[in-house]
Amino acid sequence: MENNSLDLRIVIGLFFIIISILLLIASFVTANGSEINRITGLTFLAFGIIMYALSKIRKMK
Amino acid sequence: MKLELNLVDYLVILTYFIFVIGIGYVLKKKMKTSNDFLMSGRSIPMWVASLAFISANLGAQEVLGMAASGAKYGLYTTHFYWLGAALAMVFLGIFMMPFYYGSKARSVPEYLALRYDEKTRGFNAITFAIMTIFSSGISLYALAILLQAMLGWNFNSSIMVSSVIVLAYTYLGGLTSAVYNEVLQFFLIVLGIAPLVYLGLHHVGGWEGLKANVAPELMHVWKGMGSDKTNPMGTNYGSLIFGLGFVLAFGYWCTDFLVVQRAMVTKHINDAQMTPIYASIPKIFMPIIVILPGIIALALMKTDPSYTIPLAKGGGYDYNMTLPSLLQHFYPNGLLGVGLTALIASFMSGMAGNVTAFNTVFTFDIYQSYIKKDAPDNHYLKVGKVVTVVGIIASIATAYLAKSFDNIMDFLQLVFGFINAPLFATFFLGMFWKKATANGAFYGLISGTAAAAATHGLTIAEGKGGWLAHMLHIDPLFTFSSSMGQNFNIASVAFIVCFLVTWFISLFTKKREESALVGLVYSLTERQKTGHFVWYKNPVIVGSLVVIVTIIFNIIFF
Repeated sequence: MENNSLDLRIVIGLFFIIISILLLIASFVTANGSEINRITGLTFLAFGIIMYALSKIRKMK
Repeated sequence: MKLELNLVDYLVILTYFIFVIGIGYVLKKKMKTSNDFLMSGRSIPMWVASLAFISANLGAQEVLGMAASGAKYGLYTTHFYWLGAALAMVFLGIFMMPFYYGSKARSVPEYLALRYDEKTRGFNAITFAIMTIFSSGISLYALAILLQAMLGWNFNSSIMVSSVIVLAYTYLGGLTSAVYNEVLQFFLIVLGIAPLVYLGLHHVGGWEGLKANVAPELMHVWKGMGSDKTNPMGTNYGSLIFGLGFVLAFGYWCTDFLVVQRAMVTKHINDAQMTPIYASIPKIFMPIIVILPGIIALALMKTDPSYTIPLAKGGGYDYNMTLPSLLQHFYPNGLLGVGLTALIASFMSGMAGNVTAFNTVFTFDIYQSYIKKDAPDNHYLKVGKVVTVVGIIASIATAYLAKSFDNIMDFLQLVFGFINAPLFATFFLGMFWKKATANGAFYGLISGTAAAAATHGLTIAEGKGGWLAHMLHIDPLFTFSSSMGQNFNIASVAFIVCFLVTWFISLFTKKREESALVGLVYSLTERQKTGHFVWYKNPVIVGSLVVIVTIIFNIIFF
């Protein structure tokens, strides 16, 4: 089912990439706590990309 | 306490809502049969099922409640993970899942019908269906109360918006949608709360700073368990190990369809076995995310004068607000939206899990068994969808009932506890003793439930219980040091009574032919050979490793 209709790794990857972009935006516009928003944003971005990449690697196999 | 959200926070929440409904929408076209809608076509990948298995239990009561218990009982709270979960999950995978999956039962009550008879199934199905609706309603009520307190949102609007979103994705994509969303919710909860643990620990001076600023008796797991007077949980070795570690843990993790269903929808029997075992790996590390914040809050109150756990209206600390207060203290806008979305996700996960378990049990174990037996499959698909809507509406009604009568909800939760406690004895005897009979199981269940109620009515703890003693104009037979200790003992009594009554009646009642029990009872079923599996797919090897690591954790934090 996963391959036919919806690969959850892509969904999770995309979700965390979007949230990371929002956090990185927040790190520029929020006066306090810009550093933790930036660090968390970059962590989420890395996680999102890894999840997305995992789905591609799996498909290539 | 009020949180001030900005546009980025609202965008994070909106993104989450779009994704959860989107998952349901994309999966909609796959829902062609009742099996697709209610059982995910038994095609869920194992890694998804494992994370959904743990996430179905990661509801709001868990996320908020464990942080609250962390602040109240310290590291002792880890017993709910290391003693009260990991071992039972491994047992489910190695010993019980082959029977659930191998019997082709679509639900836990259906297994009872195959092993015993229809009346035992009916009793379990009806009580389970009612319990799931009330649990779902309580999740909804708690979410609305939290949003009202934290954001000033209107109670009615919070109820409606949350319900519509959960309805949308469960109605469109059925169990698959709920399971997929549970995995997203798992990552969101873990990654959304992890920065809080990092910031909190950093703020109090790391692990050493934490230990220096928290009462030493809260930083142990087993110390002082010799007596219920010498530890913060108010319990002792006997009731903790037997009551929590055996009866309650095995009763919940091995027989509650809400979690067992997540393993039953995998592709192969080996996947079904490995699902709870793999789920137990993150489970033993979950205290870092859900319990540690509560302990950090205690240390923070000593090191940072600007922080305190919010006070309750009646005096003392409102421990349930520990986690939200830490979010408010540490998270800037942006991350605040993520933390809040993680909390909302935990409520929705709890609600959707209950609704999808409810629609399966109602459709297969009540409607198909007692109302309309031989209809075309499309009919049951429609019924499943209608029942999903009915489940959500009933949850909303329950949430309003909870708002009006707090005591009624406490009472109902108590009654459900009475029903659940003896259930493991019924399953245990059914799976491992071929002579257990249908009448033995049924009357054992009724007796165990009655024994649980009587124990609660004749004992007292923190002002709770003792209602039967009051009715009979006698003094309570025993006073427990804590409600937790009382609950562990009630569960123990219920299990023992159910076990003995089932055993005794089975000696004198008609047994089923052994040929009818093949695949349902351990001694009559051929063992699955696991020797050819690579080690990480071997339930015994991975399960043993989990148990060893769990024991090491207990020794380290003794």
